[in-house]
Amino acid sequence: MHPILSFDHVFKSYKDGDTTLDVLKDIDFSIDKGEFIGLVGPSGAGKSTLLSLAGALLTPSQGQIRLNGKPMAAMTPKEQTALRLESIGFIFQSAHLVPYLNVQEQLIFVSRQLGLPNASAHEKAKALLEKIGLEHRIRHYPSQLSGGERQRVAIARAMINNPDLILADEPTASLDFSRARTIIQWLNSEVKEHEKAALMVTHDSRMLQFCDRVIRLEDGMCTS
Amino acid sequence: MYLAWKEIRHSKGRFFFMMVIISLLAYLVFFVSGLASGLAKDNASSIENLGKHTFILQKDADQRINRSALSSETVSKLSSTFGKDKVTVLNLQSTTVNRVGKQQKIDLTLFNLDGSQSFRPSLTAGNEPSPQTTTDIIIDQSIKRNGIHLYDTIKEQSSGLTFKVTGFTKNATFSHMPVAYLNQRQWHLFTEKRKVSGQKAVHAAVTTPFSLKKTRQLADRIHLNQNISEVSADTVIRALPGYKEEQSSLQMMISFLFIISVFILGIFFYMITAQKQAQFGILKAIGTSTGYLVRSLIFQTLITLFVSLGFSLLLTVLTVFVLPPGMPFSLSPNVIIERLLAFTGISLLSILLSIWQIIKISALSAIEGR
Repeated sequence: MHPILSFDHVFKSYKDGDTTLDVLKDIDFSIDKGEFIGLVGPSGAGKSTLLSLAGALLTPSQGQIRLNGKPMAAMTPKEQTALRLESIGFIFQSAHLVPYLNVQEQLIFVSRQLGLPNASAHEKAKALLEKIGLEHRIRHYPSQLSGGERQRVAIARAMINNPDLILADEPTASLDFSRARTIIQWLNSEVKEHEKAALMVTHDSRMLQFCDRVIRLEDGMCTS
Repeated sequence: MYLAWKEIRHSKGRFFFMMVIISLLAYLVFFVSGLASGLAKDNASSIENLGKHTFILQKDADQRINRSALSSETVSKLSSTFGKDKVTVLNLQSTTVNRVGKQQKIDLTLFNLDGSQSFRPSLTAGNEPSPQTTTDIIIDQSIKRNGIHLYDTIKEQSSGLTFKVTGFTKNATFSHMPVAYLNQRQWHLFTEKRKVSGQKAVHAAVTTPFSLKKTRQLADRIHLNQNISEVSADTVIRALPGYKEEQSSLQMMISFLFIISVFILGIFFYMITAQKQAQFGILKAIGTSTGYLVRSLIFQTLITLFVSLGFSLLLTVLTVFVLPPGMPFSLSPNVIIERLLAFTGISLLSILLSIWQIIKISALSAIEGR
C-alpha cells in the first residue's frame, strides 16, 4: 500500500549568482490516505516551495517525490499538467476564481477539462454546491459573493475532480475564525470520508487542532 | 471553447467595442478595394478585354499606347513575318463628340481592331450593327451618364462624321472614357476626313497571341524604319495615364489599414492577456493546459474578427446600393476572399505576442502570489 504523497530525502536549491541557496534540505515524510496534515513555519522557511514541489509545479534538485507511488520528476510537463487536473486539488490564499464564470460554471469548467459531458458536469457541480450550502448562489459571479463564499467555491473547485491529494496554501487567511473553522472542519471530514490526503499550509495555530499531524519547517528543515 | 465564449459573453462591452473598430476598418478596406478595382476597370477595361496578348508599340511612346504611332509599313512587315492570322492591328483615338442638337461635349475613345483575333464586344442593349455600316456604332454604356441614349446620333468633332448609337456594351473604357468601336470602313472614313495633308496613316499598336519572348525573337529578324518595343498587356495597362498613380495610392491606403488593424487587434489582446496573467497562472496550476489557453485566445480573436468582417461586408453591400450609378466601384468575390484571408492572417500575426505571453506564464506564480 503506497502512501498518497511521499517526499524521499528531497532537496531544493536555487542558484543565486555564485552562491546556491538551499531552500529545502532533506525533507522526508509521507501522507497516507485519510490524513490531514498541517504545515507550519516562519515565513521564508520554504513552505510555499514545499507545496509547489508537492503540486508538480517545481522539480526537486535532489530526492524523489511520489504521488500514488509514481515519481513526478520523470513526467513531461504535459503529464504534470494532466496530473494536476486529475489527482491534485489546489486551494490558494485568496479564492482566485475566474471572474467571468458564475459559481456553477467555475466547477463545470474544471469537469469539462477532464472531458466530462456537459450534462453530467452540470449535475456534479450542482450536487457539490448543495453539499457546501451554496445552491442559492449557483448563478452568482465571484464579485457578488462574500469572501467566505468565494473560498468555499474555490474549495469546491479543488474537489470537483475528486483528487487524491489536496494542497492548500493558507486557505483561511482571508476568513474570520468561525468561518475558517467551519471550512476546515468540512475539508477534514471530506478527507476522512473519501480517503484523500491533504497538506495545508497555515499561519493560524488555532487551525492545527483539526490536523492529524503537523510538519514544522524551519530554515528549510523538518523539525518535527 | 467554454472559457473563451464565457468571457466574451461576460465582457460584452469591450468585445463589442473592438468589433465596431475592426468593422469600420474592414469596411474601409472593402470600400477602398472596390474603388481601386473600379477605377482600374474604368481606366483599362478596353485593354483588358483584348486578352493576354503581347503588344508591339512604337519605342519612343514609352509604353504608352495612346502615344504610340506605328507606320503602315511597319505594320505590314510585322504582319507578313508573324503571319496574317497572328496579328491584330489596334487603332485608337481619343476625341470629343456631342449629341446632335446639343452643345455639351463628351470625351470618348474610338477603337478600331483589324485582324483575325479582333475582339467583338458583347452587347448589353441594342443591336449588333451590320459589318458594312458607315453610321451605326456601339459604345460603352457609361456614356449614358452623359445623356446619350440608344439610337441617339452623335457627331465626332474633328472629322464632322455622325454616328448612330445602335448598341451598348459594358466594361469597355479607356482612360476613364467610354470606348466606341468603329469598323474598318468607319475608321477609314474617320482618318480620311481628319487627315492633315502629307501625314501618313498611323496605327497605335499591333497585338499578337505569341509570348513576349517569341514576339521579340520574331521582331528582331525584321528590318524596320522605326524602333519598336514589345510589351505585355499588363505593362500597357500600368502605363495608361494615371493608372499607376491611382492604384498605388489606393493600395497604400489598404496596406496602412491592414497595419493599423494589426496594431489595434494586437494591442487589445495583449492588454487583456496582460490583465489575466494571474488568472492564467491559477488556471495552469489547477491543470488547464497551455494549449487550451492559447486555443481560447485564437478562438476569441477569430470570433471578434469574423463578426466584424461579417458586419463590414453587410455595410459594404448596403453602400453599393446607395452609390451613384456612375461611381467606378467593383468588388469581385475573388478580391473579397483575398481580403478576408489577409485579415485572418494578420489577426493571427497580431496575437503572436499574446500567445508568447500565455506560454511564458508560470503556474508557480499562483502559489507565490505574484
